[in-house]
Parts: sequence; C-alpha cells; structure tokens
Amino acid sequence: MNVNTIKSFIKFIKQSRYNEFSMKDGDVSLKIKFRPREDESETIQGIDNLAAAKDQRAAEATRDKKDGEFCKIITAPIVGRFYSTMTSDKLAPIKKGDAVKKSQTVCMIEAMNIEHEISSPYSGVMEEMLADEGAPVMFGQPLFKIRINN
Amino acid sequence: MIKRILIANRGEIALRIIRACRELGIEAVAVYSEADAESLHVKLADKAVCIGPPNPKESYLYVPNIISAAEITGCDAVHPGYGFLSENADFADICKKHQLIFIGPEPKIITLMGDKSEARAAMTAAGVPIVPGTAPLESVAQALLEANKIGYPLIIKASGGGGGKGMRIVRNDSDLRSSFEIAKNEARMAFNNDEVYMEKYIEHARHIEFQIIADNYGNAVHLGERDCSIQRRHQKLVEESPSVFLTDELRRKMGDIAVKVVKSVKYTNAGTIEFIMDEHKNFYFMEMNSRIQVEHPVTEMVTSVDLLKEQIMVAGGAKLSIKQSDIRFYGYAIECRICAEDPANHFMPQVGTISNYIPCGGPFVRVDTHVYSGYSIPPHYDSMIAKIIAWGETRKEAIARMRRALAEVRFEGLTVNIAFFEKLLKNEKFLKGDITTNFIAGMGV
Repeated sequence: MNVNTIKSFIKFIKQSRYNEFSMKDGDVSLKIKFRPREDESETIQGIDNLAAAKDQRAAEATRDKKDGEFCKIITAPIVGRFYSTMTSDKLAPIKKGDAVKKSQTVCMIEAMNIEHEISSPYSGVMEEMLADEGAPVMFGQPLFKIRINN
Repeated sequence: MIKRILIANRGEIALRIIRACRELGIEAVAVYSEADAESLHVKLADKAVCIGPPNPKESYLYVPNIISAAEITGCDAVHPGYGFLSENADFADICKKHQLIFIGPEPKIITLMGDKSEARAAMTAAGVPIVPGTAPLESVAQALLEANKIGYPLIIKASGGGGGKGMRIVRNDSDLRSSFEIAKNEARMAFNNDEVYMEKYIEHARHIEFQIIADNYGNAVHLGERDCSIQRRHQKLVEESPSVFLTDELRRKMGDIAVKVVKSVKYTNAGTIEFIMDEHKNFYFMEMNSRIQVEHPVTEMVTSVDLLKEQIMVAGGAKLSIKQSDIRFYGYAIECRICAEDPANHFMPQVGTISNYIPCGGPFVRVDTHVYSGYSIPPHYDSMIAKIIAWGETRKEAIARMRRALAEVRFEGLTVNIAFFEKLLKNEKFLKGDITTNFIAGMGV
C-alpha cells in the first residue's frame, strides 16, 4: 500500500460521517481513527465553560462535604483536551459504576500533540464523569467523581 | 494580523497587555496560578485558563501548560510581558514551533542578548563603547591577573544573569579572592550558570537606558532615554525621562548608537539598551533587555507612543507606524514603583489584604496597578503592586504632581514603600537632579 492510497483513505474518512475505519488486505492492516474535536467557535465556548467548571468545582466541594469523606474528585493535573480513550486502544473508557484502582489510568489529556495518561490517586468506584469528551480542561478542573472504598 | 493573544504573565503588566489588546480589537486570554484566581487580569481578560499551583515553576514558568492553554483557546500569539519567560529563548522557540507568534525578538537574538559576554562581543563588533572588562573567568588566579591589568575597582557579574544577582564589587586583591566563589555560587543558584566575568566598576555612575523598537523589515527607531539611577540593590525604584544629565547632542549621539546596534544585530520588536555613564559623561554599553520593561510608561508619557500596541502590531507583521523624525519629546515624566515593602524595616516584603484601595488621579497622573479593595497579595510573586507615573511640563512640575499623587493614594491594610518616595522627592540633591546609582545607599535608608 503506498502513501497516496493511505492519504486518499484519510480524505475519504474525513469527508464521511465515520470517525473510525479499519481494513485488512493480505499482510497489511490499516486503522484510521479521528478524535472528536470542536471547531474554532466551539473552542471559545469550551473555555467559557471553564469558568462554569470552576463554579461547579466549588459546588462539588460543598456537596462532597455532605457526602463525607466518601467521595473524591480527580482533577486535571495539566492543561489540555480531555479524552476517555487513547489512540492506541490501550485505554478502555471507564463508565459509571466501574471499579477504579489507585494508579490506574482513567483518562487521557492531550497537550502539545502528546497523549498524557492520567491515573487515579484513589481506589473506588466511578460515580460521575465531570468533563466532556474532547473538551478543553484547565489545571485543577474536576474530571471524575470517585466513591472511595471503605 | 493577530486575532487572539495569550498573556503569559500576571499582575499589572498582564492588565497593560489586555488594555492594548482591547484597543486593537484583539481578544486576550489570561493564564493564572491557583494563587491568582481572584486577580484582576483574570477578571478583565476575555478568557482565563488556570495553569497550575502557586509556585511559579509549576505555573507561570511551566511551558507545557502555557502552550497547551494557547492551543485549547485557539490563540495565535503569546505576549510574555516582563520577567517569567520573557527572555527565555527556548520558550520563544517552542512558541514558534507551535505556530504561535512570540511577541518579542527572535529566539537567537534573545540568546545573544541574554549572554552578557556574547552581547559585549557583539557590541564591540558594532563599534559601541563598552566598559573595559574580561572574557568569562575560569579561576581566581586568572581573575587576579586580569584585575591587575584593568585596575580596581571592578564588579564581578554573572554571564547569564541580571537583577543584581551574582554581582560583587571588589576594590583590591583580597576582596576579589573572597568574593569570586561567592559570586559564582550566587550565579549558579539564580541562573543555573556559574559563568562570571569582570568589568571596571564606574563610581558615581548613572544608569541611562534607551527605548528602541524595530519591525521585521529593518526599520528601527529610538524613543529617547530613561534615567533609572535611583536603585536599591540594583533594583530600580524611580525612573524618569528625559534625563537632566543629557544634552541634546549627547541624546542624539546615544540614540543613533542604539538604533545602529538594533540594526546591526537585526533585532526586532521592543527592547532597551542600557548604558552606564560616568561623571564626565562618558557612556558605555551595559546590556540589552529583549522585552518590554516595567518603566515603559515614562517613555509613553513623553512621546505619546503606545509601546505595547506598537509591539503587538510589529509582531503581527506590520511596519512601524512611526519614523524617527515623527518622534517628539514633550515634557517630563517620572515613575515610582509602589511595592508591598516596609521602608522602615529594611524594605521587608509584606503580605496581606488591601482592605481599602483609594486611587490617586487628577490631571497627568497615570496608575498601572492590578490591586483593588479586598485584594490579597499572594506571597509567591514580586512585591510590586502599582506604578504611579506623573507628567509635567518641567521636571519640577512632574515631581510636584508625583508628590500630590502619593499623598492621595491609599493602600489600607498593608505597609507599602510610599514613605520612602516622600522622603526622596523632598531631597535637595534629588531635586537638583544630582543622582547616581549609589544615591539611595547614601541617603541612609
């Protein structure tokens, strides 16, 4: 398979309504995957949400107090875009009710075109995902709510 | 044309950049550390992104989060302000690689000007007078040899430094023996580079600097000088323009040299060329600052040129809007740097909350500040909380206005250094313009 064939595949998928494509032809296998990415205008929207996220964080903190020490928030340790998966399929998205172990990778933040694995500082059960797929996140922004095991 | 700028800074300079953006119709994105969430630059920017914890190393100096913040907000340029990453060539280079316009000179020029020994070599090549000095020094033995060639007094300086760190004045062999290693250690701690060199120490010196700005097409102008001789431990406290010490002829000569330097190294954007001047009006190149400076407002007040706007425009690819012949100097401007420091207690930095801020105002007074009533000074950053700039037709009028402004302004709940300025602005020698870089030490404060 030559480069031009691959390029035409990429173009074709980009124009289609699909985000993912895979094929096998003899020994050659090809997999193309696009990340959902907001356009320019939505990017600004995303950042407007950052202020909202901060308020949400404050609200979470008060709610957490009510929940006692049973719930913890995983926050973004870096600035970037939030994804629940990685391009390599190494990371399976975690869903509400999934068990999470301390140091387990729970999501990925893409920054400067590099995928950074984000691990959980706590063991517990995922209660709520607090960031949207592909959304910009700033330092300290809540990503997940984890119910801590007793 | 630039559409959205990320401001990689905090405090009053972040506000200054936001204001320039507003007037140019450019969107401004602020970044902030967790300690600055309530800061005015966060409130006034179009967007704001938290980039890390209070420690500057993890926020305002942490390049990946700053670049990432520019990317997620769709910025096309970065303004570094002063301090932090403003003279970091690697940062300028990374911005470029990420298709972000760095509002400042090219990375290789920042590297050249940041290395004091290399900058001196470049100036000598351009025919600019430099203070007699040495190449980087390997050992005390070599230093002693060189010292006796040039003659005492000498000053040891760090090749990678500024802001007074790593500097030591030595007056004889035994001084040099005891200070050499200390200066090297200080340089290593402050700049991660222990290379030092020596220069002839000029007694009764004045610090005279020239503001320049250049575009990407080889056009460059100077905007006159600032006299920054009033310093405490090599930190400027008062700046004025013009300097009473300079004649028109000398101003023209030094300005021409400044422009020549800029053109010879193909410098672009705003910068400052610092000269040291002895009592006989001999002047020597000291260093070039490749950024906008704290004291830029005094130049803006006497030339009516908005340096920040000009800086943004040339970074975006515009030609300079001004020619040298367009620049007119009118009146006198003086700036006082208001710091949260207690002058009665060795200028000890103060932290706390400003319970009530009452600004000064009236004609020809400008205040650049990020404080407001209820603002808490975070302990992690610079102690400067405001710059007050007064203009007058004459120096006497500018000083009288400054005294009036200082008597009006209130930062209640916090000790600031205003009492020091009140004393200085009444000093007979200061009023006569008889000032040197040792003035404050001699004032007994």
